[in-house]
Amino acid sequence: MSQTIEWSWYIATYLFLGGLGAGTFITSAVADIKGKGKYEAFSRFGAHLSWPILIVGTILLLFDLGRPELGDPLHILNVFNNPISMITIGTILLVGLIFISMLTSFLWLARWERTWLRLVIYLVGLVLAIGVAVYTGLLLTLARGSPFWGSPVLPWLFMVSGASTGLALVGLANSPLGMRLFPRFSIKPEIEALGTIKKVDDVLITAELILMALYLGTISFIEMARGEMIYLLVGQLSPIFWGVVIAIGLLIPLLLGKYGIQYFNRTNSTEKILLIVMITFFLVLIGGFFLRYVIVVVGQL
Amino acid sequence: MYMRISQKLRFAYAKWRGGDKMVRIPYAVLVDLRKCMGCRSCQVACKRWMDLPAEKTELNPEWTNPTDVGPNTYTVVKFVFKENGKKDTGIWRFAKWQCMHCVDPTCAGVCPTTALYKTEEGPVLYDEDKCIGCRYCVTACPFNIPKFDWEKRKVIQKCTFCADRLADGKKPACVETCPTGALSFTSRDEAISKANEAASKGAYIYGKDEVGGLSWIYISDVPFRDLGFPEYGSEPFSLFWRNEISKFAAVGAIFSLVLAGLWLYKKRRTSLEKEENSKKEVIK
Ligand code: SF4
Ligand code: SF4
Ligand code: SF4
Repeated sequence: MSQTIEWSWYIATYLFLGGLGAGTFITSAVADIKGKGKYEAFSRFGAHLSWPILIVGTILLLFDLGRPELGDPLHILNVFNNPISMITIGTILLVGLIFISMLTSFLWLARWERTWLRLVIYLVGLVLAIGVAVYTGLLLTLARGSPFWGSPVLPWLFMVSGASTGLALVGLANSPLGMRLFPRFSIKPEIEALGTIKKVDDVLITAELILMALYLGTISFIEMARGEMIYLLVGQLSPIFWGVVIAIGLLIPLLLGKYGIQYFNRTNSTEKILLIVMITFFLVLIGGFFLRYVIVVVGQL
Repeated sequence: MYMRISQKLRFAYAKWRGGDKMVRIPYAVLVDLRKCMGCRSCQVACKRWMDLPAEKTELNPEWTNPTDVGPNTYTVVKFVFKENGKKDTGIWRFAKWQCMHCVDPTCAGVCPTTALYKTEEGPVLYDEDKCIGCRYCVTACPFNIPKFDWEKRKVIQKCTFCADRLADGKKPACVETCPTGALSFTSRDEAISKANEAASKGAYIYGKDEVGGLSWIYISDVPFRDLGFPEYGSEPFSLFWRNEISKFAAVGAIFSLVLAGLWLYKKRRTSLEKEENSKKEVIK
């Protein structure tokens, strides 16, 4: 049985952007609820970034379809036909999240008040965001013909990775680039808030490492996925897996964050610490993307 | 039992009527690999009936040709050479391969548009007017059967169980043409009882329970593992769906419990430390 690789760059990028958009929303909402204004720059930045990311992902998804049916734009509505299909469920969650995320973005611009309604909007959005992040994994888990995806840990791995990349992206609001792009939302580096974000991201990265081990552990019991497993761990894609996903995306950000900051703390150079944190955030994003890519591609071998 | 007798009767009745009308019972094809001689007549008949173009292929060491089903090939006869230990000797086995028309098909379960659907009579059919081309069916089918035709028509292509012929009271084209009687078209119940009979005489059978049952049921004298058939449990897709979702929820619950535990532990430790510190201060 040989499979054709049907899902490739578009889908991998979409799965990444879906997790990223959801993670960005989660970060923005949690920062606002918990920080009560302390992390406002991050909350704003996240709110304005979440929906464009999700929309770009959706466009990629549409581009990937094999039957665009340009003659009938309503043809795509067939996607809502099967309530147990993960694509149907996921599309509903995605549309809902885009809507809520646009709403929060708009309300930030309209300087919304801290009322119970704000909390309700956030809670609905959080449920949708967790749903979107998790479904990108469940989509693969339920594809029975690709045993390499058949682990109940995979959706949680994608969920945590989504949250971690979202956090990293929001953190980049304080990078020189972010500040230039959105001068209104991040006037000065909020070093203290950034420290908190970095700490949470470290926790998430650790959780991701554990989930990754659990995922590979559960897959190793599936006999039909053994070939794929070898391909991932020692075969052609192993450089990407070990080098980019594990080292660049998880270990280096973790170690750099810990020891790099310790080192520069002694020399007391805020600027360098800021730079290091930004680098780790950037690496986390790269790792998150290639995580989706290797899993999507290896699953179809 | 009642069902079985009544279905047998209906099937016999349909035969007696000359089969000019389809009787609504689940059908099956029984594939007896012990009789197959690898002539590939079914492959040719399928191409002819389905009007599929020839494919340019190369001779390959596996002899299976084309190597897999594809957008222009709904069925292939897999050639398997099984060595028997001595050098260059062994036995050949041939296994016809096509959509299994699962009783509870994964492809239809995952398809967001219901373009793929199961019929009462057995065939799993495809409605290109609904399909959006997401190719979830391609990645999800346990037998990797559906293929997306990128070149010509941009549709999913797979064996249809010759549903058009069935509706006309005819057998599938491949069954009709099989010269050795390796393929036979019957009701699913009868196919299963024949398979059970063969199994009781020591043959291997496939398709009775795999992924909740198939509409193509195989009998073989060598284990199916040696023929490269995937090994699946008997969960039909709907059960598989439920089980996977529950497992996923359980993993989530365990993980959050562990996290909550760690958090409580940390909280308690910091509060203990504080107490300790305040005690020390008192002593001072
Ligand atoms: S073998 Fe695959 S394509 Fe055929 S009915 Fe089963 S799941 Fe669908
Ligand atoms: S490609 Fe078409 S038939 Fe296959 S799952 Fe998607 S919508 Fe359904
Ligand atoms: S049932 Fe029809 S479509 Fe399917 S393999 Fe036989 S001839 Fe081809």
